[in-house]
Parts: sequence; structure tokens; C-alpha cells
Amino acid sequence: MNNTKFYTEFSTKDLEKLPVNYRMLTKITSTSKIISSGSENYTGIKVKLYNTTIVNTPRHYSSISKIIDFE
Amino acid sequence: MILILSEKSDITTNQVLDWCIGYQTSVIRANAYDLKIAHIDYSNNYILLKYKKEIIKSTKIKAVWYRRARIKYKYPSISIENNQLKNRIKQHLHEEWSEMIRFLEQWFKNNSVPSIGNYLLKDRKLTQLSIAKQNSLHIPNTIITAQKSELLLFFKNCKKNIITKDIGCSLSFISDHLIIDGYTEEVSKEFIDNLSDTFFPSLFQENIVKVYELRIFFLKDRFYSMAIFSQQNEKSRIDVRKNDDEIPNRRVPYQLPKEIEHKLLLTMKKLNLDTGSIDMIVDTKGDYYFLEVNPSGQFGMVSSPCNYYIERTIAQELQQL
Repeated sequence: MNNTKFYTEFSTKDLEKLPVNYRMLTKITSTSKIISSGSENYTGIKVKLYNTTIVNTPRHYSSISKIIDFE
Repeated sequence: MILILSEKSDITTNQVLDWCIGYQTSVIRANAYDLKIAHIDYSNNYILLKYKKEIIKSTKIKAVWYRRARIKYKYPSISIENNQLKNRIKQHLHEEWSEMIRFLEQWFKNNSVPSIGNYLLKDRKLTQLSIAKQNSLHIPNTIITAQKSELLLFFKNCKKNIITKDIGCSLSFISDHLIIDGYTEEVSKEFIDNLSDTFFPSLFQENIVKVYELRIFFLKDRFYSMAIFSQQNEKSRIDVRKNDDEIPNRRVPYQLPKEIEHKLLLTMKKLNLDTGSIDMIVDTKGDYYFLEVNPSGQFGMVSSPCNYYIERTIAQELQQL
């Protein structure tokens, strides 16, 4: 991740018509593809249960999932 | 059966669901596209809801938690060539769908189905500030202006110490390799000098010199408060959301003075909110400033460091509604 402070790709003409804080929008870039929990290709966490079943769960960060052995 | 309207990425819904499962509460969680209105029966006063592949009668729902509810519909693509008409049709379909969703919430209200939260209420910072002031809470000096000359005067009146932030919600954009986020930012004289004479109406506030800030989760007349010592870190000094992962801000449970709780309670009642995440700051004189309330704000960041177990309380609340 590379934090370049502010997004600077608006033209001067655009900025004159936009809210003032558009000059100070925080921009973060990444060389790898950003996958957030809201992304369409987010498939959840692969969890291996004690009985060896592998489930693909969208219940990420669930406190119940914490007690499951991820090995 | 309890209906939770949420979104896929909401972690706190998962945690409340964990407690609901533990309490053996019958609950369904509907994210954006999971719920459809299949049929409205006026003669028998019910609505048939399609939840994934299941049909549920609205009369079976005993309580609703409007968590981060945005019930969406995948509108069909139209193949006509007239783009203006195409856009108008899309807009019209959205209006039709929204009308049904409005009716669904109204149906729950009319049939006395208890709830936490509210579907239609969104962030309304401007109204919130005005109502907080009416209830004798301090608010920072605030203007919305589109004029550089007015902004310069405000800057001078605020001892050259002001910030700008969004009027409604912060802009947030995520694509494959880029994230753009709007935060509260300081405004300098040099910054103002570089502005054009007019611009899109923007919100400015005096920058209150704070000792600490408060995140307060409100649920059915109870306050769960936490102090954050964000001003000691340059990264989070102006906006606590710019948390420093290497040196996280100290966060501790906090007891609000009864007088402030009373004023906040009156404000929340007037805003018709039974839940929400309130932002406040405490200045060097010990004065409490109301900033805003997010009706569907996150509470995990208050619950976990303060051991409030808010997720459990919500699950219990839903069971008892």
C-alpha cells in the first residue's frame, strides 16, 4: 500500500465546481488488487472444521469462527 | 422470527448473530439483495416477503433490527436506444421499488412490530447540529458557504483555526488498485488563498482544541461511552478515523455527566432515534461539543475496548422486544 496523501487528479476547472474538501481526499494506492469484504469477488474465509470439512464462509471475523481451528 | 436488515460486510451483525444463535433466537439476516417484496395482500393485511428462496409472511416477523439496511433490487437492463428515456425508466423503477420499501417499514409500524433503528433515517448532520443546539449542547461554530470572501471572514472569526468536512456522508471509493476517502481536514490561510472566488457549497467548522474525544453508542435510552486520546497522535489529531496502527490511540470506558446524557437524550428523542453512534469532543475548558450522530454507526470499536458487550445486549434486546 502506498499512501500519497491527497488525490490530485481533478483539473483546476473541476475543483472550482466541486466541494472544497475534494482538494484533500486521501488517496491510497496498491500494486496488488484490493479485495474488501464488500468486493464482488470476496468469497469469505476458508475454514477447516475439526471433522476436516472445508467451508467457505462469509461470516468473516465472527467470534465463533475464532474458536475454529484454522489449521 | 426476528428480521435483521443489514449489509454483507457488517461485522457487528455477525457478532450479534453469534449471540442470537447462542440464545436460540429465530432470526433471519437479509443483506442488500436477499429480501424482495413478493406480494402485498390488502384484504388480509400482510406482505409476502421472498427471502432468498423462502417465502415469509410479514405477520411472522416479531421484531426488526434496521442495522445498515438498504434493501436493493437488481433493475433489468433496457435495450431501447433513447438514453434519456432509458435513464428515466431506471429512475422510475427505483422510485417504484423505494415506495414498496417505504410501505414495508410503515406496515411494521402500523402493526406495532417493535424495532431497533430506522430504515429511512439517514445521516443528517445539519439538522442534528441544529437540534443539539436547541437542547443546550455546545456545537462548534459552523458555516456552509460557496464564497471565498465569507470563508475568509469565518477563518478570521475562528482565530484562524478551522476544519472542513462533508455535509452528509464522507466520500468513499474503492476500485481494484485505488482507495479514495474523505476525512475531516484542517484548512489553512494558504489553502483558502488558492481557492477560486466561488465553489460548491462546503461545510466549515471551528477546530475545537480537544483534550479527548468521545464515541458514544446509544441504545434505547442507555449510553455506552468511550474516550479516545486521539489528539496526542499527529495522524489522528484532526480525524480519529486516521488511526495509527503502529501506535493506536488509548481508548477507555467513560462516564458522561448526567447533564450531558440528559441533553443527548432529548436530542436523540427529537431526532426520532432509538439507537446511534454519537461523536463528541471535550475541550480544554471541559466543555462538551456535539459533532454528529450516525444512526447506523459502528459500535464494535466502543464495545470491544470497553468490555461493554453491546452485541450481547442487542441480541437480548431483540429477544425481548
